[in-house]
Amino acid sequence: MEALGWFNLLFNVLLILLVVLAVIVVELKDLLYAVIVAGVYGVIIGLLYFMLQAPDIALTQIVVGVGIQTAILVVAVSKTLRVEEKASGKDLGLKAASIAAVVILTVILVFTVVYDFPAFGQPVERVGQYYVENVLKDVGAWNAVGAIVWDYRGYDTLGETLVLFTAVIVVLAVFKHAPGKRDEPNS
Amino acid sequence: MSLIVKTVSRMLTPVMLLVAAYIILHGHITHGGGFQGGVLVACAFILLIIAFGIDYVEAKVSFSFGQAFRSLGATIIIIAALVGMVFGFWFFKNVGVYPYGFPGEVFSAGSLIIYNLGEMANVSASFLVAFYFLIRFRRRRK
Repeated sequence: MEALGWFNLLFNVLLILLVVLAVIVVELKDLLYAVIVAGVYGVIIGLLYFMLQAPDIALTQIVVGVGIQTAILVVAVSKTLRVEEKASGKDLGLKAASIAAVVILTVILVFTVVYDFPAFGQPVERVGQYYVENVLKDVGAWNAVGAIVWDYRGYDTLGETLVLFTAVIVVLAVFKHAPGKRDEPNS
Repeated sequence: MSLIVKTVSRMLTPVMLLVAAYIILHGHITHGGGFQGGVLVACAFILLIIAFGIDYVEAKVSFSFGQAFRSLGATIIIIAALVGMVFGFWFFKNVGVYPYGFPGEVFSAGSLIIYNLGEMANVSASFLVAFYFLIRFRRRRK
């Protein structure tokens, strides 16, 4: 029970830190620093997933949310402006009011729905229990998540993989004639 | 980039590739799998791009090689899934066509390792190719 108390304390401290880091990311004017703080944010989310006993998701979050996302955003910042432009003061009050209205509406909707959720760790679907109990007999993999991803739910993963494949094809098709490529004469 | 960045990335890249190989080849035993390992491989090459420049990396891993590797990964997945249909079962048939193996060892769980390797090829080369395009892209001037 003592260990669980420390666990909850650390969990809540990390959650509060997450909010603080999110505010810092929004408020930083230098976008390169904001990207780096967003990387720290990603690390903490990964840590939270690990504490919730989802190491697969933690691994994905660390690798995608810290590695790829930071690299892509750094390149995007270096291609555009490093310092955030000042917002025009014309309709600032209207903008803030509309954003606040959307946020308040979302919070109200979420809180009306969240009471109907099943309790934490008490899922409605029972199919996960079947997977955990029969994965060694059916597939023979120790990693139940890997077996679900590529065996029980193979079609879903095939679709996800082909989505990535197609997305890059679209990127290539859109940017095929972009200037700056090596084979362009005036690059 | 500075000498510190170059030295650290030179030392860090083999470690990242080693961890990625562990994640992929043990995808059916421990946590992770083809996607996570593939993104990590792409991250290792992106680190090299940031430290040494795009020309250094593109001389080693060319754009067309990335395209071919990407297509190879998708093809491996489709063919490995079609093998079940050849033997009279259904698409994505795993144990029964592929050997069951010994759970806990590398060669177990049938075709999961093939799918993980194919997805690694697809994901890593896809991210790398997209990153090449992002780096090469410049605003059009008139």
